[in-house]
Amino acid sequence: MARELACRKCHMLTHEKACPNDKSNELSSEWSGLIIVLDVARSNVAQTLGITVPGRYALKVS
Amino acid sequence: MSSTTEQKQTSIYPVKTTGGQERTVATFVAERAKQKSKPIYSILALDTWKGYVLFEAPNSQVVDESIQGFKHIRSKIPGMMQFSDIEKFLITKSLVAELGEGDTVEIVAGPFKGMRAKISRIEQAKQEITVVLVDTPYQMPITLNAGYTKIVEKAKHPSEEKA
Repeated sequence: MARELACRKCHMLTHEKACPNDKSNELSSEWSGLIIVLDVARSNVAQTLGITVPGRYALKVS
Repeated sequence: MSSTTEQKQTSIYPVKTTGGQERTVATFVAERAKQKSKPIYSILALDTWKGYVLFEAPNSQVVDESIQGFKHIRSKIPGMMQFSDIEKFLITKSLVAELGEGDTVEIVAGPFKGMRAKISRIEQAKQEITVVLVDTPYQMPITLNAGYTKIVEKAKHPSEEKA
């Protein structure tokens, strides 16, 4: 499977050509740290990182 | 990026995995938790935690049930961590954020390793800096990744020089 791309703005990971979250096409293949948020309301990680939509995210995008 | 409401501290449960399979484990357990409606809040496979996957969950039992029977899981670490213990790993700082034009840096990797240089230009988007070597008789600008340098001396601000 092709490597996932990370949105430079919201850090969400995708296999598509645009970010499914903010529709941005500024994607990068250079990312590190995988964060999967399942429950945004109860997750301290999501609240700390400002994540409001459940999904797969990269911690660092370059 | 911080919440305005008071956060209820959740617990973090580290699970030891086969090396290099952290993302596979995180993806698999996330799918299983979704299918079985297990209350796992988030799963982290961080580069700073090689060989471990961190689970944010209300209790240990939920994690045990979710990871059961998966081949890349080696063991679950007994006990738990507080969210505050891992918070520092989530805050990423830009490498070039601390650098400024005119600062003196030491090059720590590559053919110019060990040499000192002065920053002449900073490329924020690419995390690159252009430096001019200090100890050479000729001026040679080199562009390199900010990660290959270590700050030695900050440039003096004009107001500091007067004082």
